[in-house]
Amino acid sequence: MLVLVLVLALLAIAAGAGFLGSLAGLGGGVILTPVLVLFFGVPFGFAVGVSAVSVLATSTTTGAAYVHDRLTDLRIGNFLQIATVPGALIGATATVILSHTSLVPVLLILLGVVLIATVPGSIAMRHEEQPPEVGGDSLSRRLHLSGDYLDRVHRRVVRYQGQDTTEALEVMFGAGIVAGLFGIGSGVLKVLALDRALRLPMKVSTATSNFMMGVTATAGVGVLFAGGLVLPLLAAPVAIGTTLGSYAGSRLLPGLTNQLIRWVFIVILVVLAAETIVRGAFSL
Amino acid sequence: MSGADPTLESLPDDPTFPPSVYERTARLLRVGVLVFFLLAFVGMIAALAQNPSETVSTLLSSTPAVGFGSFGSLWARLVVLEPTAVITLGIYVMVAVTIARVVYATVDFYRGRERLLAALSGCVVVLLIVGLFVVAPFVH
Repeated sequence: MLVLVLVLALLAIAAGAGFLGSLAGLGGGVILTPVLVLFFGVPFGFAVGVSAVSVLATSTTTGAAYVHDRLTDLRIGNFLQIATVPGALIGATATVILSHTSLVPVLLILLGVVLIATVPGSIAMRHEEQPPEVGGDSLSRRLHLSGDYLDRVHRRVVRYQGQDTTEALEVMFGAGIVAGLFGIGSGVLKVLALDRALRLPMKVSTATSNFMMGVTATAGVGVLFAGGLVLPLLAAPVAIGTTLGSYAGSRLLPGLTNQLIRWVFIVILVVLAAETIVRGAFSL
Repeated sequence: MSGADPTLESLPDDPTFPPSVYERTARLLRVGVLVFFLLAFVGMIAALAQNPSETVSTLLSSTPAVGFGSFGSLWARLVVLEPTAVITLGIYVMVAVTIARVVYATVDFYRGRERLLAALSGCVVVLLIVGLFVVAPFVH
């Protein structure tokens, strides 16, 4: 196959991945990695390198829009990075150690099972447009992990208060490890931490997850560069496509309801969990 | 009715992150995206024009990858306008923008007299730099 054909195909696929990723708080890498491997025969390591660059592109593009619209919570996003970045470094290093063992497929299957286990909880919250107004834990109150956002659909300012900070930190640390291990943004786990543990509104959760992903990806990109896994000519069309797609998505998100965004997230969560389990099972 | 609709100005101010901080962070990210987009686009078009009949298999077996921090090697390739080096520079710009926004946050927390959050954010900056310039070469 000519590189030109691959580049054009990647531009289109990456635009779709970036669009969905910007709505659901994901980097798009979880969609791109299997497509590159399964349909274009790109070796897994190179696909992971390309995926990490696409996560950076999505995070920077959506960050520009969501920060401007004040949907991203800078305070909470910057605070929680203290858990994701060490996790990402540990995960990336573990990848090197585990690459010669058969543990990675087992970890993939475990991750898929964990993701599946979170689906019923997300479905149970499907009718929730805004989280209930209750006081947060002591750490959340001490660090002022609260904020307000402008809900353009309901035409009102919505106040929220972070709830279970310790659980959010734990999930974020896990998200960092998974991101480092598999070269993904781990947006799905970040959204779960923000939505389920901190109980932030869904739009704030996806916007803040998008903002944080770039920092987590940066922690792993150096390792991927050092390993010679970032191919510029593959990374460019993917990053350009995700930039365009995520820009379109970031313009759409403020006008959507939290319930609709949650449904988009749940569908992607189920597909992603199934994909992770299948990929792990085939690697055994 | 629409006249009473709230706007971004209706949001209460966070003393540490006032609207100007949101504006500045958004501007930094916008500039980063634009610079990256231009470099990646120009590099991609130049690479395709340079070798239009290249196949995927030769690309996967021949494209040289630059280790992060190999600035001398990258500069040498940029001087001769090597397309993949232009794309790599774009990726470096995005990495730099990402680190810059964490540095911004650290300064903002410090200015807001939130010492604990400033210290934690400073640790993230250190970890990122250690990851890029210490852990990555070690792994290599």
